[in-house]
Amino acid sequence: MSGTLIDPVWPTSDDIAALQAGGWRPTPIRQFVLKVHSRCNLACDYCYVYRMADQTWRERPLAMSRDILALAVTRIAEHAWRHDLPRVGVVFHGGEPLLAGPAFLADAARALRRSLPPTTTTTLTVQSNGVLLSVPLLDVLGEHDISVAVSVDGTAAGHDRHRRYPNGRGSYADIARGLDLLNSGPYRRLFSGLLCTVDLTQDPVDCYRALLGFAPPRMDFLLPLGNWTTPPPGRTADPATTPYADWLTAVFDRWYSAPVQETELRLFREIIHLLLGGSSQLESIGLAPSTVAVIEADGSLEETDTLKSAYHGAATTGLHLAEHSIDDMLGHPSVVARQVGLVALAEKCQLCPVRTVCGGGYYPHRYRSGSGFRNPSVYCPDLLALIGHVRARVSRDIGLLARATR
Amino acid sequence: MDEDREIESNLIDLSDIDLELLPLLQDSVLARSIRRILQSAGSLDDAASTFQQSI
Repeated sequence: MSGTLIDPVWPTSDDIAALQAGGWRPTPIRQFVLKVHSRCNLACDYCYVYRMADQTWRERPLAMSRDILALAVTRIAEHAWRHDLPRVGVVFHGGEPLLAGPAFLADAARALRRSLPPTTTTTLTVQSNGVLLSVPLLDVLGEHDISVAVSVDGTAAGHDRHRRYPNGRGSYADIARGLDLLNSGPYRRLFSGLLCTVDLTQDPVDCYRALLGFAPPRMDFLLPLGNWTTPPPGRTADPATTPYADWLTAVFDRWYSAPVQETELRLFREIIHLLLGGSSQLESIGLAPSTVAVIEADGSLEETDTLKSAYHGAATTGLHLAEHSIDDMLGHPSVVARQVGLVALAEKCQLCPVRTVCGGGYYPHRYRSGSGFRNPSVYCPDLLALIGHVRARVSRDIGLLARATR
Repeated sequence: MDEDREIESNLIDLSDIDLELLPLLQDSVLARSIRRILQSAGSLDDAASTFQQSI
């Protein structure tokens, strides 16, 4: 499948054979995103599931059935046992995963922990819009050690600009109540973190401080999903402008300058780690192989589902739990492209001095109808500016530390 | 080889740091970052990336 124009396929089966002949081997999947419910009780205006190019949600069942759940557990366990995985992460996702109900989530948790190898550390997380958090629900999640992560877009006004109920009412008040509950005594240990989508119209430091008010152990800022064919808000083709870098560097300076780290900020943390010579553990930066698989409510095995922002069917692999193992995904071209590293990048990126840090940027951001994904990120100027800024700040401080020793 | 040197020149070199001074950085972002890179050296687990849409 492709967008309006026909996209070239890369890698082809010959490309994959050549890569394997050269010694490349796939990396097993380590994180499974379970779409336990395929509908949502909010109507966020930038949602990649419902509001962008892909409309496959219309073909999915409302919720994952018990039979599909059992198949998913079997396939995940099979993969973990086969590859002797030291860690497996399972993210309950959607739509809104809490619509699946506490009993379903409890049964899923029980089945996973029973089926995975005893030597595998299994982490379970629910990524939620936060409006359904309640004491009875948190009691169940706590009983089964399911962490809770919530999406909040900064200040109340900024959040309610985009994350509303279908009737137009803002969701911030309900989320704030839920987060206050999550932060209270026995539930605090379940609080995994906050995700915020960048909105250029919101002051960056006000946004960061509003999120900090919920005392999250970690947070992250997500660049809005978009690409060369469907550009993100405010991201023109002019490479001299860096609106998203300007926004993020304001947050970075505030976060980095704190004498004691206020919260873990994932994107910046990974950029620094890459600049110091490490590997990224986040799919949107660096060249580390993507080890994510999505299991849709109907049992379809899919690539990272933010690809849905590119074109209808972009995340589809044609594989299904009933007929295919997780290993079968590892030979799929789109999975190979996201595991093979530098060779998958556009030529411009392969020659870029910050290629090992940027990694070409988040894969969905590279799409252009007619040329596929072998392009620089639509955010290329911003990434270059942001990485340069982080490098300058960190290397200056490390230089001061070194000089103090002489 | 020239390409490798170019990449390395864009990375930040920690070899001149006196690690005994690390406690002076308290629990800052920089201190945590330095500790993380030192702890992750050679770790195979480090080379895998995870889903952006969850945290």
